[in-house]
Amino acid sequence: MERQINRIAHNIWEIPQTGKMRVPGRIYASEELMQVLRNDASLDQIANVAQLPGITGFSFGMPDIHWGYGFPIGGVAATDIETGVISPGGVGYDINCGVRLIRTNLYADEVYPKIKSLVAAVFSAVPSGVGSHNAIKKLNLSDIRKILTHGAGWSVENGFGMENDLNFIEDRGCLESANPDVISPRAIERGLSQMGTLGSGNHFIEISKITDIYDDIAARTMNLDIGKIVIQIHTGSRGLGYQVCDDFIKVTLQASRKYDIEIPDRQLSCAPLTSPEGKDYLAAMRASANFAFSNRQVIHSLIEHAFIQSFNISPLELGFRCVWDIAHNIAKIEEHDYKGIKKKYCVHRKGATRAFGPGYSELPSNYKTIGQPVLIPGDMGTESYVCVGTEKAMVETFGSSCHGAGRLLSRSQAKKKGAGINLFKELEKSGVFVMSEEKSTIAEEMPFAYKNVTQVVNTLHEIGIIRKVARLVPLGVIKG
Amino acid sequence: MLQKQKRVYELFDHTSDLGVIVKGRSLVELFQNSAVAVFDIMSGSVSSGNSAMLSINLRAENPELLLRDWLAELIFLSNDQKILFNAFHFQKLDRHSLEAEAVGVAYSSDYFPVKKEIKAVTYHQLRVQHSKSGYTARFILDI
Repeated sequence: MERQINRIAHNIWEIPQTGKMRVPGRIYASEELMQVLRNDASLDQIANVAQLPGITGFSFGMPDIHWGYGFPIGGVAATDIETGVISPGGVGYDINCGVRLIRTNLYADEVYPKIKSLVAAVFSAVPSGVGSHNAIKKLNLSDIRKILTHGAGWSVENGFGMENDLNFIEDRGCLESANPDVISPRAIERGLSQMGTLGSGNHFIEISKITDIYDDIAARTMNLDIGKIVIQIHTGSRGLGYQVCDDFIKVTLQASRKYDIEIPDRQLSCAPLTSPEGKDYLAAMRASANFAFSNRQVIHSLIEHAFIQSFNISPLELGFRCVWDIAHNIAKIEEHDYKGIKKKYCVHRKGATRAFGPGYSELPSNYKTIGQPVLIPGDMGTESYVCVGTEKAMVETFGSSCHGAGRLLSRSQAKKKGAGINLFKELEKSGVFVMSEEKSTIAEEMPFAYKNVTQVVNTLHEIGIIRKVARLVPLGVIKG
Repeated sequence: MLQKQKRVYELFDHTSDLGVIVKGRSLVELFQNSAVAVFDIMSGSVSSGNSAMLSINLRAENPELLLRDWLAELIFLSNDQKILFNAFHFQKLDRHSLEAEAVGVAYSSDYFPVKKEIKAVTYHQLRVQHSKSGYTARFILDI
């Protein structure tokens, strides 16, 4: 059944508040993107999320929204920390799945002739694919406790990257009040051998060139120049995060009943933020997020070494620096001024990126004037965008933006469409060299499986939620 | 040793993940077929061999949650113990509890048959239905 959706303004749509919804749904989409969405299950999921206690403003859908489980992918919900809930389903299994962008001094002209050997070197340095493990020596329990409390700081202390990298990670790569004691032994066990690994599915490492600059000042501030090589890392908290989510959905299913919270979908099970169950999940989720920050920092360092060896140059000549590292599966306690009242909210971003505007204390001093970098990877055959958050995002979306292109086709539809095509060769013809441990997943991740990332980004750029800074085009990709 | 076997399940489209529908003439067959589906998706084939065996005891509020926990437990044990399960024997299975043995082959980095990672068995649209012809389960895997 088609849901009632009202067009509110250019690229803004609303699902009216009906039934048990506590707030309306708000979707950011162009006319073209909305055509695809009209019969999509993600609209029902927006309406379901709108039923969560304490939800404020709207249940949001970003332009890359698609059907997930519980929350839609591309969903944002801010809940009042006094009256509201936290939901593990609003973060997902891959806690702090996110993206890191790294800049280099290298130009595409000098890298492209060596792209195959460079991709092979990175592929060899960073274990990828199902069950990838042993990138670094196996951690012991003491290591993992430090990782869960210190995040990327542990990686730097242990020789993976530089202290300055931490300045360019959301929350300096460490969420406070993380508690390893509320993480199950099973989750710890799953994390012990997976530090520094990419994993599988839609995780990737991409070597790209900067082809367009839309905002000179912001690009200069981020040290991004046309023709230069940048690297994106997309991964998260691996098996540790999956287990924490699984463990706590059981806890919150009980809690939903205990606190008499009616939920329209078991995957939206939740607990009041003030309850012991809610506090424990928040502390466990933060610890898992720290594992993910640490993981991306280790991978950063492994890739840097692969580049240094491949080009036989010094670290100084390479200029491998973290531009920004963002979480796009997370719940964070943030202060927002909503309708003139400054309060703290728990902002769930499930497949959505924080997009704070200029001036906020959460930003490093270098980025205070331009706003927070927002990294929006596309699919592996087309392009990605670097943007910045705006004051309008603070006013409208609790400082949130889209996180990628968003899937258009299911995996089986994508495989059907890719049948009979040598996808590696097709990508190579278009200038992208791809390596993957598991060949069959390539079809699932082909460009045709995703929405047009430029349409997605432009939807928010046109209405001022984000501002485009640079466009990146892939040269080499490692798919998990 | 891996071999293709007749599918005991169907996939349904889910944009980001993988939907699975399984049928069984009895609850035991439903749970067995659901487990076979999961390991077929993970490896692309069903392994034969019985070099490893683990016992599993679970309790849950209803058959839906019991099925989810059963599959989640098998996935965890498979990852943790590096076993690809292929046969499932129930000593006991009712609407609230099970006692079973899962049998399979051990694997290592030299012999690594797992092709697809299953992050989790989600609760979204999780169903177990009983009709005259038997049982049907529907679940979505996060991959």
